[in-house]
Amino acid sequence: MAEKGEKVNWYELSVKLHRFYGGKIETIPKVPVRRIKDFAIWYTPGVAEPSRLISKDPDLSFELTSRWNTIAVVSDGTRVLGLGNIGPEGAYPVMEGKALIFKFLGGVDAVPLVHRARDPEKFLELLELIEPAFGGINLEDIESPKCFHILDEARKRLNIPVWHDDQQGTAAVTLAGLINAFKIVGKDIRKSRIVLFGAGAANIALYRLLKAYGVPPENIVVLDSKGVLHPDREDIDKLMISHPWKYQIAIETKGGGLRPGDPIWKALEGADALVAASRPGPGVIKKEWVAKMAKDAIVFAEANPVPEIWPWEAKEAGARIVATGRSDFPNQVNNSLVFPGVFRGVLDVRARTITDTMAIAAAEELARFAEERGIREDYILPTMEEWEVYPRVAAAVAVKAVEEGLARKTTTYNEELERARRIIGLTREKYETIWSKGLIPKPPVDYPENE
Amino acid sequence: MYEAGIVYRKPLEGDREQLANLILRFYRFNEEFDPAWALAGDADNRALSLADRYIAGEGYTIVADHEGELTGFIHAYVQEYPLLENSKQAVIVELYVKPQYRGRGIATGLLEKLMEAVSSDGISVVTAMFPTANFVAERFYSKRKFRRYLQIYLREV
Repeated sequence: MAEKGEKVNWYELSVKLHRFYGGKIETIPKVPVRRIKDFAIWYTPGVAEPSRLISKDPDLSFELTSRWNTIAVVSDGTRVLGLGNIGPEGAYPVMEGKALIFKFLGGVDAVPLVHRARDPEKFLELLELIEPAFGGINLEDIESPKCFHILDEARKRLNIPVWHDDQQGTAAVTLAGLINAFKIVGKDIRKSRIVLFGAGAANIALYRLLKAYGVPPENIVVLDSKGVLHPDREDIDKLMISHPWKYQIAIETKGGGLRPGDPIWKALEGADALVAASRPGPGVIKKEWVAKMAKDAIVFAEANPVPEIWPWEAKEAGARIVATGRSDFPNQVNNSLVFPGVFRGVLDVRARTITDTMAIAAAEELARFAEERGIREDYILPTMEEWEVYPRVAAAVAVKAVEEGLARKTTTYNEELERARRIIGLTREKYETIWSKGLIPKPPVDYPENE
Repeated sequence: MYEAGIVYRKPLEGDREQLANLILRFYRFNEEFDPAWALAGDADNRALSLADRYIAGEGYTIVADHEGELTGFIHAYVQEYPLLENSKQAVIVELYVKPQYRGRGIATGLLEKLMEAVSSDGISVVTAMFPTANFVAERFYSKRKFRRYLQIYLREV
């Protein structure tokens, strides 16, 4: 099912290469094993002493084991990419891919952990049970609204950072993009009207970040598939029970001053920014609606693989800055700019959690990084090839964790920047060495390099 | 303790539409908790006639008025138990506050005004009925010193 106009069939190629390599990651030792006798250090009898020490002081597990740099990428497979509920085994390739990116961009050892705990309480119990093995948890591809409950509760119950990338990752990179977009159009984000179209994981988390960033809730309108989240909406009391997160937004935003049942174009009338994180387009957001927005409108259409509105359509309708989730258009809103650095940072200071303010710190650092390189209408966010971005995010997040008293270790911005550069750099150097020595076989089928 | 600017009073003729809307919202909310609470097709109309009866003085009804906007209401009827010492009970069957006014003590205000009204009529016991699964109501009444009292069983015939 290659997209129209696309020369490479990524789906077919992907299956062939997944089969050829038998998955994507493996574990490799990082200590000297010169002779069998070395195992007396790394295993019995020597290892008994680290074990004894950790047993007395469990926090020592962050010093004496690989826990400090190891996270679990956890999914129940209930909402995988745009594929829906495809089960834990189906989710495995995605989690493994995430683990690959974690290692490559953040130097983080990530373990794919897919499981059958569909019930939220069981899911949470699983996280509590595996906590001793990991320095952090990255939740992934869990259906909404279950994902909100699991994240909120896990953050309370666990003493290691828990992050749901579909919420905080997407929200943080979107916030970064918005910060710079508002700078370019010369408006104050805190005095602007922002419409969030789609009330799934990404936009509900974005709402929370915007609020924490200082945007008054009344300036925000959130729409789900039934329309504006409004305190006078017919199903409002049902939402209180079934989806307290939407309920809270309806109450706090007061429906952005609209009437319940007002159509989307009414919500967009005079709006300064639209963030659509809903379902694949095109045509989900109409040109006529964008045309009703304020001058110098900002439009983020984040659905994959096809944005809610094509960028050129949004531009024709008067939008000045357009961002999408795609790498083949300018301004890609991409989680991968955030999560490797965030985890690098929290792991390096042995943080106990990741707060919303730490996510905002990541967003501000991303925005600053792009600004230093000169922001333009078609460059509001760094691209993934800008390697320096990951240590920068790590440093910003680590310092915030220390500031908030949530880190087990202290650090400074420059110290963490150096450390993150070193760890990520070393990972890549090791990889380059293995690759250039031919220890990873060349792919038997490939795509043209200019693709 | 209570939201400033809220007036608790009996419903009036002019409250008809607003009161009917609150009644409807109350039932729609409880529909969530038990299939036996499924709304009738013409529930809107029935809510209007119920509002008329409350305005005419059936049972006890108190509304919370915020500058002309009805933000909530409570309604109870009187149940007689001739043989009991407490021969009359006020049974709260409906209590609703609009979402945007919640958390400000309005429901508590409504409940207290209702208790004052029934007590001045010589009724010494107030009970509340709600679907078993309605944990919101259960939490509300438990916090206000109500205790579990009756069990109601249901079977379709």
